[in-house]
Amino acid sequence: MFGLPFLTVALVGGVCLVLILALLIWGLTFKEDLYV
Amino acid sequence: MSDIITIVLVALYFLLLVGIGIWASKKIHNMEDYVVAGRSLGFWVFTLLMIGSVCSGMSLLGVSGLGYKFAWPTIWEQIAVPLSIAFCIIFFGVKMYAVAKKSGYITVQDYLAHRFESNTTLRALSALSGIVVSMIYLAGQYTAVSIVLMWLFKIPHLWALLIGAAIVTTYTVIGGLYAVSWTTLIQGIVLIAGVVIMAPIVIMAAGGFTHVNEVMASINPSNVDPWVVGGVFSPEYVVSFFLLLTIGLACAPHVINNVLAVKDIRYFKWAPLIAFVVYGIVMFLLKFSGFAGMSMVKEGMIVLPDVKNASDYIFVAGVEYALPNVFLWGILGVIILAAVMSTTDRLMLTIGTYFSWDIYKKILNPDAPDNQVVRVSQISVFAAAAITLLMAISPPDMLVWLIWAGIGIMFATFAVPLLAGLYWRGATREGAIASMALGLISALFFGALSYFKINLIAMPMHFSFYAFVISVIAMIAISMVTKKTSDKVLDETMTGWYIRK
Repeated sequence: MFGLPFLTVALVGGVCLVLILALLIWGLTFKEDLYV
Repeated sequence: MSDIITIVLVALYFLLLVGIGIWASKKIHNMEDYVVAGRSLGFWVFTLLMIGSVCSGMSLLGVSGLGYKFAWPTIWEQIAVPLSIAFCIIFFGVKMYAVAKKSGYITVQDYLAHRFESNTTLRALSALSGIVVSMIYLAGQYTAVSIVLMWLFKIPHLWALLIGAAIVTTYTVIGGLYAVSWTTLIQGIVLIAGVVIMAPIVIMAAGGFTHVNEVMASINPSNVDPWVVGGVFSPEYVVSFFLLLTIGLACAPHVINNVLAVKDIRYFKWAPLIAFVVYGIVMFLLKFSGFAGMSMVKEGMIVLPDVKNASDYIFVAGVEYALPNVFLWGILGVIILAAVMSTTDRLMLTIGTYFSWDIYKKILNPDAPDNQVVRVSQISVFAAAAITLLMAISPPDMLVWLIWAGIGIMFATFAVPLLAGLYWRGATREGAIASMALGLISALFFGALSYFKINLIAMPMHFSFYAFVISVIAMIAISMVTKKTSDKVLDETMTGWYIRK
């Protein structure tokens, strides 16, 4: 894909996806009233 | 290229920045206004300030340059650098902001002095380390400003330096963080829009993404691999590089201090994701432009100038080839200047604050009135600009190396005291001083070994990683045998294994 080896696409894409999901979960579970 | 349209564009851009500085100066009434903008930053101003502080001119030119030289194995930089913003907000920002609001901190040293009950030693050590590292960074930024102005106007290096420094110093001195953050909003928008529009055009001009990858693979098959076993970007080096960028930049003095200036803690909810995605896109596009540059050079479309740091010109050369329109060159100049200046101003303010607040007010002259401290801060911003300008007039060959070393030193010096201070109740004052001092000294030692290529020990990872390990060991070992911080202070500083209770 894109002229790239599968390992490169899977690793870079996978890491980005995992991080975006983690930050999405952070946002969804953030309770702002805890420290106010 | 000193076309009239380019001159007008850049002059208008400079006037806008100084105008924002004048507007901001009317909002400065005390040190809190000057250093943390009266804790008034809104969501977008804060998020773009974080991006602008992390994204420097050297990274803009250097990211595509590194991609041009080492191809795909350098791609982890594109994830680690945007991730540093999210790391800073989540692991440092949330808790530090909450404590700062109650205790009135305006610098990270205020937190460290409180948490480790060390108003003099740790504060001075941390502030001085922050100033030295920021100065190294700043010299690199001024050099980048000069490269752009020389290229745009064909003026001598010294004149280019003086013009760039005069503009940034003016709005930073008079407007403090208000001016820095609002100018960064403009600079951030210009930078993001510019890269998002120009980079795809460069990649298309090179024949498209797939073609670029095929050409890179034809030069060397490992160019399209995620790392190179036995090469510069070996798997172990990539891991240390990732940690260095993610954590080192997150605790960089000019980045972490931004979290104290936010108006509302709710902004920490989505700022990590938005900063990561937005800056991630910019970083990937810049790196892909570097890849496109490699393909363009291979196919004879462009020729880089015959200079030592030729790879840093790859983005500029790619845009010049893809968009042969003088009007767009002016815009490109403004984009690069935006990236450079958004970091330069923040660094200058950090140096001014660390000296005036942490050294002058908190150690040398505790009775100094607020307006006097603001004045000292303005003078130190000016002095920082003057000193680094002198350094940048004749930049050392190892400047780029020094900038990366600077992040490594920050990683080895600040990461452990900050993380242990926030999360481990067993971390003591002596542990923090030892970890910071040993982290700094060993980073300088391993850095010297690496720079002078002295094979005292095998170092397959970035030198800062070894200093970081020593800093961790020092923190744990010394904290185990020294007197614990009082529970009162630990509770006041919300210390414990949690981000949110």
